[in-house]
Amino acid sequence: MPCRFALACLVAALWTVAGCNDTAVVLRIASNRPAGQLDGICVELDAGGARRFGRRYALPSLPLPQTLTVLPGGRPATQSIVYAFGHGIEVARDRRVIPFKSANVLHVDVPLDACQPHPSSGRFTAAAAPTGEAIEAATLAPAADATGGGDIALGLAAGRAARYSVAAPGVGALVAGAPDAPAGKVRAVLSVDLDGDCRLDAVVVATGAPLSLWRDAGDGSFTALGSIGAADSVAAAAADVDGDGTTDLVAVGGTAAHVWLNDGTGHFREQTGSFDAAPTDATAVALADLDGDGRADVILGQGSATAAVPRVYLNASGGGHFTFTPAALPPKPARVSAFAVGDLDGDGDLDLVMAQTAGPIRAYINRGDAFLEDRSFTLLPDQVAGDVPSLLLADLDGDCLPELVVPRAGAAPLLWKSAGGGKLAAAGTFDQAVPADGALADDVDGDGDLDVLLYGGMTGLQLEVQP
Amino acid sequence: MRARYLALLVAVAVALGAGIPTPAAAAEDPQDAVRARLAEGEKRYQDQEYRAAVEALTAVVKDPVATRDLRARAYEYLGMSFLILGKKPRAREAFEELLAIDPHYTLSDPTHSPKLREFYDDVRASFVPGYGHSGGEAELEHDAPTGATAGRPLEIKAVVIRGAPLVQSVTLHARRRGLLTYGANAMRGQDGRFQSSYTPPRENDSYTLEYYVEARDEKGRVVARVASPERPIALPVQGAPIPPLPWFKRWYVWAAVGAVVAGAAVGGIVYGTSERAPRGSLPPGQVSLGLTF
Repeated sequence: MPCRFALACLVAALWTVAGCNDTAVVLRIASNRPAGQLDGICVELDAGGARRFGRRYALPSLPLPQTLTVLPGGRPATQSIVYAFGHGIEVARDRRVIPFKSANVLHVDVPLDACQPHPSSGRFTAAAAPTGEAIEAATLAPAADATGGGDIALGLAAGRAARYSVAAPGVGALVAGAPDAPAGKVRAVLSVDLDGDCRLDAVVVATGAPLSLWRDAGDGSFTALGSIGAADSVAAAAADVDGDGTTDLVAVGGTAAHVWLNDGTGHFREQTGSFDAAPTDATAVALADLDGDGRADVILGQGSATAAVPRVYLNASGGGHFTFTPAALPPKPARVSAFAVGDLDGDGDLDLVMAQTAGPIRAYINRGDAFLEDRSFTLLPDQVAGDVPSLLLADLDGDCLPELVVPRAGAAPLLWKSAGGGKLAAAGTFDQAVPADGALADDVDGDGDLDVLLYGGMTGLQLEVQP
Repeated sequence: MRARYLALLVAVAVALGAGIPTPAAAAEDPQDAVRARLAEGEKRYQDQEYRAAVEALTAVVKDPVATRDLRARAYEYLGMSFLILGKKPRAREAFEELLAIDPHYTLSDPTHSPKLREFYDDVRASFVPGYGHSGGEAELEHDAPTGATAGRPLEIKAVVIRGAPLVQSVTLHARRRGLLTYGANAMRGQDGRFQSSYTPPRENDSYTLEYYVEARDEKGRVVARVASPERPIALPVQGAPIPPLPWFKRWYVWAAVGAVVAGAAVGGIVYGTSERAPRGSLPPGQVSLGLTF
């Protein structure tokens, strides 16, 4: 009997030793970006199958680094997706699947740095044959799956929308879970968090229709939130233009330019008189802090039929009121179809790439004060044959300098790789040389480098992955 | 016819009486005869009938049922008798047999004859290693207690009544009857008076304690004895029930206490060094995936 008692004490002590640690993951979110460059982060947690935890934090009141502890709740792993926003625009994302380790508190660093070089091949392999549907616009968002990563693609065409699972093997079957797209031609779909729940919602821009707002229901499906504005927009961009930490919208079309301010819950009100000079023939729009004052400025393309001078409007007041700045861009008319903004030369300010119909790609290097110099001749490869409906500027090979994907009407997209100093060099095309109207980038196979989803034309969806 | 029946019964009775031992005969100790012969030999010695003493004592030492004690006493008187008869070689043989039984044997000769002592010392000095000629002899007096109680201290006293300067130490040797060896307990004392507090082993049942007291000189030679290993004093010891151990003297209590203390110490160390899931700095601090958000 006494021996049993002593043995019980020993077992109790051993049990204490074995079970003394909690099972948890502590996320430590940090960034090497200068203070003020980030204005918010989103933390999204998912354990697969259940609704996600998503919460947006305004960084001025919670400066980085910050921590958040994740308890398993009976789940073996969690997927964490942490976004960083600058002026309402996603500027960094960390996505990872973290398995829990029993009786261990794992400390996981979540860097939201300006760039962490992680070189990859930059070569792409087609995952499978293209799906083949007629898709006019698409977007890509992380899937609600904590076990293997993967994305959900939202493909839209006139009057139709569908979701696809996108993972390493390729693009999966069509699945329901999205409202019907407007009846007109779908010009663009923006993937933004409208209601601050850290899930990427959608803004659909279609010809002859107001902006359609779709909300991510939490499981990757979308429900219609409503529509805003008149049916005169052909392009839109999203960013925090009034500095309140929420994602606002700027929509343009013809002579119209609208600013829609978000109250943080996905409800918008139009701010009238936001532009001191109305556009003459707006065709494209982008939002970026060009002058480095911490406020999102507007870059507006024009020339639906006749070439017109693109414009830059500076957000001087910070309240979403924009001032036309004629000297920001060279006064050279163009039929602008798309913009891409990024730091081409790695000097810390945002440069501009512009696509046009029946015209060459232009590269503008920012002197740092929103004055953009045309360096196309020295920085870009030979000119592109064919119209360019959209652009993708993303660091595909992990060298902290962006590559440019140039979709072309009726031809395979071109891939221009960064060669340093802002220079882009032709690197051929993708593995499956199918025509595409647009390209999206994300790490769909969870291997740490970006993969590319091509869409549009008769291609449907074509996934090109980096091995 | 009647007379013939009586004769047959008498014959059977005689036959039974001769061939079957009676209960009294079965209970008779075979050593009694040896003791009787030894007593006869001692008496003959006292009566200075040394030849008759030798005869009786020789029968004792040749008797296979004689104990070591009886043999030792027989050899002592045999040796003394032979010496007195002038048969020194036979006397030496007898004393050597005696010393083979007990090398520290002290003569019990009541006459204290110097010649006898000197001869015995010579034999012992040549026969027992480490024994030289002694500087003399001593004599102990001891009042044996009449009884003792198991587990209770018993005062044993011994007084050196002769040859006190020779005595360097006095030792009480005691054992429970049935055991082969004695335990030694040094007695404290001075000026020839020694005493020891001896506690008989605690037992539930009564038993007999056997002991003897031995005095030695500075060279470790036995110079006096009260009783001897072969003929110890028998002390009846009253059994006493063994009281249960108090709880704090039980081994398993302290084993459990040790286990608890060790467990608490280990637990404390582990708890101190273990890692608990901290609350994060971002609201709500901790997120459990098992909940619905």
